[in-house]
Amino acid sequence: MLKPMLAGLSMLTLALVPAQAADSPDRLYDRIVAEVVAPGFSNLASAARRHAAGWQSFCAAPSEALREGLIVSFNDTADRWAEVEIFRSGPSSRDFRHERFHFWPERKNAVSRGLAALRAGSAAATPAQVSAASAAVQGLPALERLIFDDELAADRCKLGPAIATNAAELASQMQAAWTTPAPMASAESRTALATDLVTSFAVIKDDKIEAVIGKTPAEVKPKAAEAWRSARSLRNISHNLEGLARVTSVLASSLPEDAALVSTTLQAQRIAAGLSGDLGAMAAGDRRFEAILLRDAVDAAEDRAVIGIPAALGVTIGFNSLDGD
Amino acid sequence: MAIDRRQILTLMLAGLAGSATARGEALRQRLFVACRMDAAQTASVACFDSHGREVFATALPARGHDVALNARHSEVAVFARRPGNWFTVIDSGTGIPRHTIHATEGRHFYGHGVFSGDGRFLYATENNMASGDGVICIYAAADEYRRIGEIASGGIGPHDLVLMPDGRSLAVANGGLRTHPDTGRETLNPADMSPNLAVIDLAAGRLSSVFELDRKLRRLSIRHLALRGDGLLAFGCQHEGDSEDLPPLLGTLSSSGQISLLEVPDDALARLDNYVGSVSFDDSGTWLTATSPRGGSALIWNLRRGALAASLMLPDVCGVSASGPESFLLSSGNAGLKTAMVDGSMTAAGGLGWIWDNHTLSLDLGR
Repeated sequence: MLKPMLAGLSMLTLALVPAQAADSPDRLYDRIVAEVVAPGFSNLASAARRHAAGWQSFCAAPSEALREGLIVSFNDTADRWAEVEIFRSGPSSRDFRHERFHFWPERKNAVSRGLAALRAGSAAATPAQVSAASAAVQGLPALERLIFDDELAADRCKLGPAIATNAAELASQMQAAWTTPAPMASAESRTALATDLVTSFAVIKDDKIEAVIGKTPAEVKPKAAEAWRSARSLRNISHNLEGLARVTSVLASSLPEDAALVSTTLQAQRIAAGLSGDLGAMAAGDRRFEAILLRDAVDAAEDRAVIGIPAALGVTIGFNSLDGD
Repeated sequence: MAIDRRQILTLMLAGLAGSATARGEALRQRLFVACRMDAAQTASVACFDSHGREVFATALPARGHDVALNARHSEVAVFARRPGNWFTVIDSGTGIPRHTIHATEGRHFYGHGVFSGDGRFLYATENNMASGDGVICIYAAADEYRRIGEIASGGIGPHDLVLMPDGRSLAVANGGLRTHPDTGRETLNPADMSPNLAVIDLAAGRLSSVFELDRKLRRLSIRHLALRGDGLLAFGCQHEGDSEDLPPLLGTLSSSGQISLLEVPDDALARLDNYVGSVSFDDSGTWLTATSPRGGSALIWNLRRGALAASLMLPDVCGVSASGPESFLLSSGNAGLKTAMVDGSMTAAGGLGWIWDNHTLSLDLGR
């Protein structure tokens, strides 16, 4: 008897919640920019500034304690980046800023080659030199190498402060691009946003998980994982999904009949947040099922996103990028 | 998607549309033809001007891919998307369907075709499903597009093809990918690809030359072509290998047989995400645009200077045609139509609300 009573009670509770008027697509876009994108890039800019200051302190008097601090501020910057990385083609993309802040996937060993070129000078690099160099050495992947690859320890202070200062400048520029002034909502801007969001689920599943774990344990490629040097592969996925979850929670007001977009995104985020360690090692060993569970959770969220996000933002998403020819 | 003849004609006649006013205004301008779908996934082929104003739209039974102009007979052939089993021929002024042709037993289309200079023959890239060999099938326009013969394409997975300026030969992009409709679009020979550019002597009905890229680029599927008046052939590729590679994706084949790969800077190249969906010269032949729906970007290359002119961001961009000297029409599955100038600036050109497919055809006949 108890179960039917509880069920009846919860139905009553749901019925008493006042029906919310759905936001228009333009209003939803404005809210996403104001409530997720702008604060996200603001947080990134602050974190990147702190990290740049950390490099100055470390290089003034290197110590293990300050290096630990550098790792903390690097991780904070990378967390904040992963939450806004999903906004790939908006105003922040001008001048290759997205690629310059986070050149990934790394192709042709571009980070190592770029660092070698920067290192060739006799004096310490300047932010202006970094800004004019290959995109591969202007942001997080280059900083990760300098902090976590001990073979580059001798070059840390020759290159690190300038790269971190350049990255902080890029983050400030990206923040400004979304806020002064905020971009206007339009069919075009909503389409770009919807494309970015749907694409992000596919990037996480295809590039950040499947490309690493392969179809069998024998196909695992640990070094295809994003940020494997700093053991951040799973953490990046978790923060990507956190950014996406923030967006879907805004969209939820216009998706009264499709709570699954919000719940599946949150579920994937929780699974990612609960995992730790190296994704490649996980997929090659006894914990492979956990990697597959995460992949399937992202897949389920993607299935909902492809339908729900364009519908809420009032746009139609094409298919050339998904099944080109 | 297999479609029968009656379905095609019924759907196409029902879908014939277009405003007489728009048609009158637009006829004075350059026109474009492209396949598209609406939000309900209903397929059509549309003719429109550079502002996106529709001249006609004709319903298609399923998703189309590329279109080919027969200027002599005022016809456009519209091909089903790979691995489709039909192409249909419409009046290029009204969109009224004239013929629908099915692939012969054991063959399917790859989505591209081109007419002979005199308009008498249509050449289409097809798959011999039993052997996996590529073939160029020949259809006689004056005989209701009866299939009258075929020529080996010189490779596996022929995709785009162009008629060379001499009118006597075809250039074919053999992508190197073996597929079969039973396994959808899955590549059956990922480790054994041999893409090439083949030149076919039409009078002799055989291959006259084959050009291959360096062996280390054998995972680079050559897929799309653009031709300049002097015979310079541009090609765009799709990388089937490791996603961490960053191979060159664009190249040219000169009339003297010299292949050159464009040295696109890494930043702009990475934005193409190892994938080029379409290529086009502008009217002057100085500028070449390549699109990447996967990267959501396009780049414009200055051939005279041998340098990148611009890198654009446009979600799901794929179709590209010259819209004048130093300008291009771009089409996107998401973001409608755009006019792009060679300085990288873009302006809206209508077409929002439609999911534009991979290719656009310029009907400018004056060049």
